[in-house]
Amino acid sequence: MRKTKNTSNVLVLKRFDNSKIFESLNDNRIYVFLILVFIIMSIGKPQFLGPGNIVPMIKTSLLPILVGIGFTYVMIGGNFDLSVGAVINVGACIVMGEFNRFFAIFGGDAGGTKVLVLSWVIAIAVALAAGAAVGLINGLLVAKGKVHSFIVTIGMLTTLSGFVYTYCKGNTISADNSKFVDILEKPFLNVPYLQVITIRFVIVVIVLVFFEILLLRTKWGRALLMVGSNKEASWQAGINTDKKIIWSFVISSCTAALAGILFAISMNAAVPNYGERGINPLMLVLAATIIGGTVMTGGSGSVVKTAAAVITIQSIFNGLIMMGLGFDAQVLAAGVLLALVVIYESYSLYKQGLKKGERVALLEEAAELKAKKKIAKSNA
Amino acid sequence: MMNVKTDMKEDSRKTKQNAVTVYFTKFGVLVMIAALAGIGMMVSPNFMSWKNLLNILNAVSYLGIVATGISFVIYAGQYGDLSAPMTMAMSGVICVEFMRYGLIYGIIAAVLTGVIIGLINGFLVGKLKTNAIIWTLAMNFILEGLVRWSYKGTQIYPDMANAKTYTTGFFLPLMAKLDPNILKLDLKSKAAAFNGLAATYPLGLPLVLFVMFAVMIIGFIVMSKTTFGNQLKVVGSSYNVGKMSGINCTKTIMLAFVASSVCASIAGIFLTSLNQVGAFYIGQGYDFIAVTAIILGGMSLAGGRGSIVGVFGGVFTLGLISNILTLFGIGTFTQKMITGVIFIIVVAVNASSLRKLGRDYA
Amino acid sequence: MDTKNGLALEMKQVSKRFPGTLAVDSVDFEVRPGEVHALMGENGAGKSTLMKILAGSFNDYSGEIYIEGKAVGLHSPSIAKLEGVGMVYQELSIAYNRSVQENIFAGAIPGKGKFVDMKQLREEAVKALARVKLDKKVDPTMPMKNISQHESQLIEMAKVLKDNPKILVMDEPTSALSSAEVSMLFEIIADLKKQGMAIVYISHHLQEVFKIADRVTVMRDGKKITTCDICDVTKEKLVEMMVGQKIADFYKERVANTKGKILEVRNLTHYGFIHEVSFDLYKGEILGVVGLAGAGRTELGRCLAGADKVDDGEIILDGEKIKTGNMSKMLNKGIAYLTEDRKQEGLALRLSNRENILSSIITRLSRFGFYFPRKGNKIITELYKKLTIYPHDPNIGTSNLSGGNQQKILLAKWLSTKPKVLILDEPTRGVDVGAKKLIHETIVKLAEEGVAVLVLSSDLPELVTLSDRIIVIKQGRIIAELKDELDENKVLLAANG
Repeated sequence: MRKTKNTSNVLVLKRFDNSKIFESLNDNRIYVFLILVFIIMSIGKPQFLGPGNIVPMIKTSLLPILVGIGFTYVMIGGNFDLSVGAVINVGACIVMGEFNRFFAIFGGDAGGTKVLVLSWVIAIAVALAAGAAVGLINGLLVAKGKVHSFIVTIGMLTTLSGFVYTYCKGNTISADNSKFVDILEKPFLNVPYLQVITIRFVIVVIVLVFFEILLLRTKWGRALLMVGSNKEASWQAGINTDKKIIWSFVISSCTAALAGILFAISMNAAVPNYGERGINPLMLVLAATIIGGTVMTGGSGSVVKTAAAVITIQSIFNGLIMMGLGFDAQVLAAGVLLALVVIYESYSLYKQGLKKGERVALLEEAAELKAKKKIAKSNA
Repeated sequence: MMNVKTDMKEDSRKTKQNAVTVYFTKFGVLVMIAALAGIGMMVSPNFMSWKNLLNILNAVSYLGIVATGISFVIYAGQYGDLSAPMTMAMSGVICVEFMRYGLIYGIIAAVLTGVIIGLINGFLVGKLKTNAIIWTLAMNFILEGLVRWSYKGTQIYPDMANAKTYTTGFFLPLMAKLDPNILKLDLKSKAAAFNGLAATYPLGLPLVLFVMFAVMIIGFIVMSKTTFGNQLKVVGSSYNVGKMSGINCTKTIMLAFVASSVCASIAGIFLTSLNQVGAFYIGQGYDFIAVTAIILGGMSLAGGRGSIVGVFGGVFTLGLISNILTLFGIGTFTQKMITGVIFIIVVAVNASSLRKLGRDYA
Repeated sequence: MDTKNGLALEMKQVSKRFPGTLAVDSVDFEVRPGEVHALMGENGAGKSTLMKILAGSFNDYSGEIYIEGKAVGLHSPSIAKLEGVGMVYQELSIAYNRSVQENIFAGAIPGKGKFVDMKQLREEAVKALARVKLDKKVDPTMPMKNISQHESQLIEMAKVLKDNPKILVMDEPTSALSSAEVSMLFEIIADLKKQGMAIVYISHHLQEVFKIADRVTVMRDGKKITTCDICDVTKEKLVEMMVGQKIADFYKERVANTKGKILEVRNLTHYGFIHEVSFDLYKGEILGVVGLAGAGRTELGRCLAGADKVDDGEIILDGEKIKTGNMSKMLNKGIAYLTEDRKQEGLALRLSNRENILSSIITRLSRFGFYFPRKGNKIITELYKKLTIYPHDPNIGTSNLSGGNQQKILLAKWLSTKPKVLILDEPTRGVDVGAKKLIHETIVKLAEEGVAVLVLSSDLPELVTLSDRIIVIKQGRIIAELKDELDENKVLLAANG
């Protein structure tokens, strides 16, 4: 009896050592990717590292980074939110439309700066509230109604894309007074590289850091991770699982709406079909979330890693443009990248499945047997 | 020998389903159709006319073909095939490319494309157990990238395929290298034949309607009467049980995905012919609408439950809704919104009624 | 502490109704501090439901519950936890993506305010692991997916113990453990008992109950039958109370009547699972395979059935060498395998009984790619009669059946293939006594008809009485073969050898 105890003790340590390095490497693979992409691109095209590339690249990443925060939260909770693409448009169109409405109600240009600020605040609040409402409906249907999130969010996607077209009447909406619009995109310092630091950038960074801390450093976030990993166990442990799921959807819709709001204001234009003919934001965010290491079935992930993955993908996009490949090659590249990561993840899970239940104690003997078989074969 | 009869005693668990739920899952879509027909008749006296019904059917026939295919994937317990839109677009483009050899070659090439896409999807989902939603979405993106990249984002017109695609296309330059003669082939008549696919009216009805019914009837027989269909039911209900019952799950799921992709290909060919243009956006949105129709038709997302008859009902319901809303003078986008809301309500009601029984949910 | 009657737990007239059934029917139940109280009963007797009420899984039970004399309303798991109820479930609730420490402290991670303190978490996790003697074996930051089954069981217990419960409920804690691990668990339980914890122990294993319990409560059909000191009852008496009628002799002696050799297994190897396993099987023979948890019993069955790949070795059926690793081929040749995991691998609970039974013979009932399920009608009627499956309507959903009847459906599913070799992995796991007896009789009858039966089971009395011969497997290899005068002690010694 004593003997078996000892062996199993040794085995624990062994399997622990073997897996630890690989696991931490796999956990942080996105940073390795990011550095690799930067190295390869800068060797191929030195101007890749120039401010002329880096600044616009980060600026384009801001929208998917914001959307990715919520998307990661929902996936950590074990669900999908396919409606984020539509919510971006909802946020963008509502903020512009409501601004124009309230601006007109309050007296327009005659009212001065006060009215302008007030109108923007109300418009942003309404747009965020709309986002929150969408998230709440999604979350309630998934958590309380027990409908598969895929179905709920597809229905929401259809509903919202219809809604947003109706709301905009199919047109592009611009703000009637564009005085404040520039502020969002005006750099604090006009120094190369640091031009990237604008109010929009700061907002995104603050939101990102906030949600990373919320996820990994608070009890609430740890509970959400637990819920995503095993709902039943979390419920037994006294966690209110439904509430966590609902909040994850609300966060997803709010961050997507915020992304749309910031994008629309900084562009001074809101369209009902952003991303429909270009690179689908859903595709980018989905790819980034999975490449960033969020487990597809939930329970593990990080929003900063998702953001890093967004920048990685965006770097590849920019690199492709520098190589003279068009916009369409980006779509292909993003698709291939996503597919490769999905295949890698599934294959490693598949391999793990084959080994499930394998007796560590028998592996040495198995190696001996394999060697014996090989010898027998070569003799024959 | 003892005569133990403990197992004969009344097991107090419920053995009968709630009748309402049975009827809802089985005939819910019929009730919906009847209600919609009632509303339609109140709105317009011509609603129930033969001509209007045909119009409705014609409008949803492309959707019907796609939905029949995707329903196999959902029946297999795999939530859906989101690569259908680009499979449609890709097949359309391939058909246009190959139709210079003759229409039939174009169709064969397009369907083969579908088969290959389905096999890849099926292998990954069936063998490696990849999440079907994520994988087919990735596949959709790859196909989209392929089509857009090889045509530089431009469209391809059947009647001027030579001029446009010689420089940008993917297959034509390749084929032209192998056999320069193909550029000299007469295209006018072939393009006319291709464009005529969607404009053919045998017996006064559009050809695509016949195709939809053919696809649905074949789909119905395959799903409920064949060995494959019944194995699919077991695999769809529980993958592991299927595996431990000696069923080749990988093969079964692969076939389901092939069915889905082939149906999408067929719809893609007709849609390309209808629009007289091949482009990457041709099938956009069809995946979501098809899933809507399938779920409306009472198929369970958890797999193994539902039928093609229900799918037809779901497709027809969507056609009726759109028709009635048009009669009310409501625009396309608002229609889309209303369809979405109806979808969410139906799914939520269905899920909650099933849950009350302690059964699995949609 | 208000302990006027000195009871740790008192439940008075507790009832719980499910739609259409009274699962727990006015039950009185009491546990003293510092005792191990066994709760026994057949499947569906209501013992698990009673304990789930205690754990706060339902908010709509009726009756009164007192913990240490204080009336409590246990309407959610968190309230139950707060009141001092700790429950170790039979189905482990593990979050595989999270670390050991997060699993232990799920929902109660230490820290200041709303923030977590990972260092403190680690320290407290080590302390919690020490209570189940795992602190030197398991690193608390390890992800749970790298932890073995029995360690997971103990970690689950650590998770419950960290809240210092007054009452600890364990639902079949030993079902996945080997005997060495069981004795370790019993040591831990003895320690807890010394500390004055009240322990409710749900089990089907009579031996275990007699070994550690002080008192026993028997339930049947949602009602409490009796509570008594363990020294006042015998095994036979307990079984009788559980079943509700007198059983004279549980197992029947039988004379083996073996004919020719049907199956030869030579050097069967699946690296890391089973190594160089060889044995013969004869027509009409019941061969038992015994081994501790993790010895490779199930893996042997799966390799024989073609569910897992075989790296080396051969299987010869009726003198013909057959290709391994292909389940449908094996099935057609006549090797059927009844899985131990009924819910996950055995039956699709969403299908009807009829569909489940026929799922193994879809190809046999097919012609030219078309499936004719009506051809299966006769088979189903026969099997229903043979196995006395209740309810009699085969079109009912399998999820509506009791555990025993589900197991019969599973057996019917494999009998419908008319196997030459039938491999039964835990044929009576989680099954009530009546169904168990019937399944045993069916196995014996099959053997008399000339079918070779391989029984893989952890239920020693079952194996000893059923089998004509027993092979003992350890560390993936056959280490002994026992033939004459089988008895439990002999087998157990061999398995531990």
